Amino acid sequence: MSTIAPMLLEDTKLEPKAGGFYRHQNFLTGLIVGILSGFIGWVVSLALLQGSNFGSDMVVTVTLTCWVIGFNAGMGTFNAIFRWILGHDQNHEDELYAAGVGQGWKRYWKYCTDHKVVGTQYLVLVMVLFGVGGTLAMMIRTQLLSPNSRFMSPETYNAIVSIHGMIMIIATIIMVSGPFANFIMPIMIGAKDMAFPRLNAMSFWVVVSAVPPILGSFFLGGVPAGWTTYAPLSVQAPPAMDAFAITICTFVISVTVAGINTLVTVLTMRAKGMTMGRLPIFVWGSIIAGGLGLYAMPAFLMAQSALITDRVVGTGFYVAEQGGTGWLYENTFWIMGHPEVYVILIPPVGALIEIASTFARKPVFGYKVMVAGISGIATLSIMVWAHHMFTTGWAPTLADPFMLTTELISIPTGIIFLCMVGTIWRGSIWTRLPMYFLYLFIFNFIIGGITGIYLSDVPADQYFHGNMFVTAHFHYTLLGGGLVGAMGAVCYWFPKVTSRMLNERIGKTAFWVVAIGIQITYMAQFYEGFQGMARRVANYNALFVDANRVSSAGAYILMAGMLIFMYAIIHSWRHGKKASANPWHAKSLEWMTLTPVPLENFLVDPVVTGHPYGYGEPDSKPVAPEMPVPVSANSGGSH
Amino acid sequence: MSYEEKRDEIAEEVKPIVAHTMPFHKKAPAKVVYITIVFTIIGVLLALFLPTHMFPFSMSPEMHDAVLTFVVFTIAAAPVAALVYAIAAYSLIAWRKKGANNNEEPPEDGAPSHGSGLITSLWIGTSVVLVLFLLVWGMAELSAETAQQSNAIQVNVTGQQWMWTFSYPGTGVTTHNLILPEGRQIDFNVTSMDVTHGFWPVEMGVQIDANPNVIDHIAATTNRLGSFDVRCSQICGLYHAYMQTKGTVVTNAQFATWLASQGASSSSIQSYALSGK
Amino acid sequence: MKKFVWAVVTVLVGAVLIAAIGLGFHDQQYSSPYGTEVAKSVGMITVNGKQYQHVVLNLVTEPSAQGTTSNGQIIHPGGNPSWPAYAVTNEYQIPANAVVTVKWSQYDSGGVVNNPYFAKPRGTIGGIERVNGKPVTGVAADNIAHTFTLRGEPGVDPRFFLSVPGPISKLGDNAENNKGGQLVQFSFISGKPGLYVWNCEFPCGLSVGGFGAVMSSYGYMSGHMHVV
Ligand SMILES: [Cu+2]
Ligand SMILES: [Cu+2]
Ligand SMILES: [Cu+2]
Repeated sequence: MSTIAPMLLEDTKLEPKAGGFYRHQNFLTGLIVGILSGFIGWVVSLALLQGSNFGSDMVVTVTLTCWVIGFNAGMGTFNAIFRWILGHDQNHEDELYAAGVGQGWKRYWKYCTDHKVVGTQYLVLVMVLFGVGGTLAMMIRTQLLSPNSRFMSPETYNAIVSIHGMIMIIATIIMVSGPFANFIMPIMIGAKDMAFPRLNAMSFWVVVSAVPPILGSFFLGGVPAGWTTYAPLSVQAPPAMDAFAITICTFVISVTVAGINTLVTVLTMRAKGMTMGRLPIFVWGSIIAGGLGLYAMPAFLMAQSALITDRVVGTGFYVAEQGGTGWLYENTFWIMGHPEVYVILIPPVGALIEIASTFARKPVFGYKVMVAGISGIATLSIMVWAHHMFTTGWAPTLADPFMLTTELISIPTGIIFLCMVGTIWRGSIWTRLPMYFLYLFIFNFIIGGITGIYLSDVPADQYFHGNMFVTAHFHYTLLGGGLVGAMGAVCYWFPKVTSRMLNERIGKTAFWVVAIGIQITYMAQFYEGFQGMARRVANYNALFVDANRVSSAGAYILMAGMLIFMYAIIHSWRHGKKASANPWHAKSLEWMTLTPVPLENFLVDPVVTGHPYGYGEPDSKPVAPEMPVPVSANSGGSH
Repeated sequence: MSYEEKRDEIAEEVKPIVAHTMPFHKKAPAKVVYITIVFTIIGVLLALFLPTHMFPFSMSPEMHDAVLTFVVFTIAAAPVAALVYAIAAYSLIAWRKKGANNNEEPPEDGAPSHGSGLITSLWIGTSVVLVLFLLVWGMAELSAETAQQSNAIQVNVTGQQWMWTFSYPGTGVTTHNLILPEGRQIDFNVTSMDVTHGFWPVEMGVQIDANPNVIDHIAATTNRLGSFDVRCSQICGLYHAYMQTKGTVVTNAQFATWLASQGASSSSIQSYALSGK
Repeated sequence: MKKFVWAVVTVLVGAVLIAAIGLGFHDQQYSSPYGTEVAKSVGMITVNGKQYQHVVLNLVTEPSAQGTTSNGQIIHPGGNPSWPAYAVTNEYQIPANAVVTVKWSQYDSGGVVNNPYFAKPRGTIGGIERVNGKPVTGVAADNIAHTFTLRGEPGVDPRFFLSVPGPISKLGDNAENNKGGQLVQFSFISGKPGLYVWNCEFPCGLSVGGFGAVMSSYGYMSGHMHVV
C-alpha cells in the first residue's frame, strides 16, 4: 500500500462497476426502502394483531423496527455482509468506492467508510439535533413564562419535556465522540482509518434511523414520562413510548458499535512509535469514554427492551400487580445513566486539554495524573448510580456507601481542574476563540460540580431532589461544561475538518451571548430550586414567576447565541479564509498532515518520536524528521 | 535514553532561554493567594446571607439540616472554587500574549513544565480531606434524622394520579389537605395506587417516592405552626403539575378537635394521639 | 459588518421558525370546537346565612366520544370512539364566590374506583349530592362511572377542593350515549377567581391503574374551569 501515494487515490479512476450495489444506494434509497419496509410491517402487524390486547403497541413496535432495518438496508449497511455470505467478498476497488472515492459531495449522503466523511456527517447531525432539542427547550421556556400558562396543554408540555431531554442526551453523547473521535482521533494516532470502517459508517446511519421514531412520538400521543421514562408510568404511556424505546434500542446499537471501534482503533492502529504514553489526552478521553459506553449503554437497552415487552406482551417486569417493580427500571436506567454523564463529558474534557496546551503554549500539566484522573472518574462512575435513587425508597441502608462513592468522584474531578489550570499557569495565553471556551468551561463546571456536592448529600438531596435545582445543576455540567467544551472543540478543529478558518469575530460574539445566556437561564433555575419549584411541571405557583421569567429571557438569549454560532460555522464553512495545515502551530499528529486531509491521512506513514506537547522545548520533535511534514505546517497561514 | 530523561534534559537546556523570554513573576503565587482569599470571602458571605432569602421557612429540623448543609458545604467548597478561579483569572491577566502577524501566529512558548508532583499531591491530599469531611457530615446528619423518636405518630400517604390523600390510622379519617400536630415526629407511610409519585412536603425538607404495592417510610418532626406545600416531585403524567395540596401544622388540641370534626371517635383520637408516647 | 447583519438575520429567521413550531404545538392543544360553556345565573340564594349569586352548570358524560349528545352534536370530532368523554365541551365558566349547582347527566358504564375516598362527595354544600333527586352522602365504590374533581391551578385558592362521584348508567355495561342516564345534582361555593382544572378520578382508561389512554389524553376526562 505504501507504494501508492494515498493522495492519488482520490483521483483514481475506478472500474465502472466498482462498489457494486453501493453505486445505487444513498440517503434517498434509505428513506424509500425504510418507509416501504415500515409500511409492510404496519400492514402485516395490523392484519395479525389489531384487536388483541396489546394491538397498537405491537403495531407501532413492528412498524418502527421494520423502518430501522429497512432504512439501513436501503443505505447499504448490510451489503458487505451479504456479499460475504454469498461468497464474493468486496475487492479493493469496491472498498475504495465505499470510501467515497470519486463521488465528490455526494459521498456525504452515502454509506461512506472514510472516517473523515463519517466525522463530518456526525458534525452536521449533531447540529441538527441541537437545533431540534433547542427548539423544544424554547417551547418549554415559553410555556413557563407565566403561571397558569395555556400556551400548550399539559399533555403536549410533558411530551416536549421528555423529547427535549432525550434528544439532548443523544446529541451530547455523540457531540464530540461522533465528529472528532471519528475525524480527528485516527489522525492523531497516525492511523489510516478506523479499525472497522464499515461499522463506523453503520454507527452513523443507525443513529440517523433512530431520529424519526423519537420525533414521531409526538404523533403517537406523546411521551409523558420525562427522558428518564420511569416505569410504571412508561408502561401506562401511549404508543409514543414504543417509538421512544425503539429509538433508544437503535441508538444503543450505534453507541456500542462506535465504542468498540474506537477502542480497537487505538489499541491496534497506532503509528510506529505512538506508544500509549504518547497518546494525546483527547485520545485517552475517547477510548475511556468509548469503553465506559460499552459498559453503560447495554443497561439502557435492557431497561427499554423490558419496557417494550411489558407494553407489547404484558411481561410485567415493572408492574407491581404482576410482581414487578419500578425500582428494577430505575436501577437499570441509572446503571446506564450515571456513567453516561461521563461518556458525555470525558471527550470534551480531553479536547479542552488539547486546547489548553496549544493555546497556553505549554505541555499538559501532569499527563499521567490526568490519564489516571479520567480513568478514576470512569471507574468510580459505575459505582454511584443509586445517588439518583436516594429518595426513591429503594435500599435506604445503601445511602451511606453511595454517598461515599459519589463524593469520591470529586477527587478525580479536582484532578481535571488541576491539570487545566496547571497547564494554563505560566503559559503564554494566546487568546484565540477555542481558549475562550476553555475559560467558560472552567467557570461553568466549577458551578456544576459544586452544586453536585449538595445533591450527593442525602439530607440536602431530600430537599433538592426532583426540584429545579437538579435541572440547573445538570444543565451547568452538560451544557455549561460538555456542550461548551464541544463548541471549543469545533472551533479548535474547524480548520482541519473544513479546510477553512472559523470567523473569530462572529464566533466571539456568539461566545459572549451564549456565556451570558447560560448564566441567566440556569442561575434563575437554581433560585427556583431553592424556592421549592418541582421539575417538569407544566404549571407553577405564582411564587416562582419572577425567576421563571428571568430564566426564559436567559434561554432566549442563549438560543440567539447558539444561532449566531451556527451562522459562524455555516458562513465560515462556505466562505471562510482557507486554512493552512497547522494554523495553531500545534504539535499533535493531526496537524502534521495536509489540509484537506488526503484519503488515508498521511502521504508517508508517520513515525512518532516524542510526546505531542513539546511546547517550550526547542528540540522537541513529535515525529521523525524523515516524515515530510507539509510545508505550511511549519510556516502557518496560507500565503 | 528514556523519554523522561530526554525531556528533563531538554528542560535543563532551555531553562535559561525560557527564563529570559518568560520572566516568571515571583510574586505570582502570592497574588493568586490574595485573589483566592478575596473570592473565598465573597463565597462565604454569599453562603451565610443568601439562603435565608432563598429557602422557604423551615418547619422541621430536617429542613433546617438541609439549609445548614447547604451553608456548610458552600463554605467548604468556596476556597476550592476560589483557587481555581484565581489561577485562571490571574494567568489570563498576567500572561496573556498577542501573537505575531495580527494574532495569526502564536506567541512564544510558555514554560516547558510538565507538572509538579508536590502540587499534585497537595491538591489530591486536600480534596481527600474535604471529601472525608463531606462524608462524615452527611453520615452524621443522616443517622440523626433517621433516629426514631418516642412521640412519633403515623400518617398514611397515598399518591395516585393526580391526587394526594392522607389518612390517620385507627381514626377512620381521610383528607385531601394534610393536617399535622405540632412538635411531633411524623412517620409518613407512603404508597401509590398507580405509578410512581414523589411525596414532597416542601417546608418539611424531606421527600420520598410513592411506589405501588410498597410502603416507603420517611419521618419529619414538626416544629413550627403554619401551612406548607405538598408537591409531587416525580413526573407522573398528564396532571403532574397539579398534583399538589396544602398542609397545615396546628397545635395538639386543635388537631384533636379537627379529627373529631371529621368523625373520629374520641377514644380513637385518644389512642392515636397518644400512640407514640 | 455585512457578516453581522447576516448573523442577526440568522437569529431572526431562527426565531420565526421556532415561533412557527411553537404555534404548531399550541394548536395541538385540544380545545373543544364548542368553546366555553358558561353557567347560567338563576338569581340569588342564601347558604348558612350568607347571600350568594346562584348559577347552574350542566355537565354530561357519555360512553363514546365520537357519538353525539342529546342535541345531536358530535362530542369529539375525530376522537377515539371507544373513549368516554365529558360533553359537549371540556371548558366551563362560573362566577367566583357564588353558589354553583351542577346538573350532571351521566350515561357511561363503570366499576370500582381506585380510592374509596372519591366515592363520596367532597366539598359540596352539606356534604351531599342528589342522585335522581335523592340526597346521598356517597355512591357505592363499585358502582362509579366517573368523578368530577376540581381544584385550583398551582397557587390559585390552594385549599379549594371538590370531588363528586357519578353512579353508572342504568344500562350497566351496555351503556349507550344519551340512554339510561343518571341525573347527579350537587352544589358548591366557588372559590377565588382564577383558572381551575378538573379531571376524573375514576380509572376509566387502560393499563396501569386504569389511568392510561383516555385518562392521560387531555380533553376527554380533563379540562379547565374559568372562575371569573
Ligand atoms: Cu449520577
Ligand atoms: Cu405525582
Ligand atoms: Cu372518567
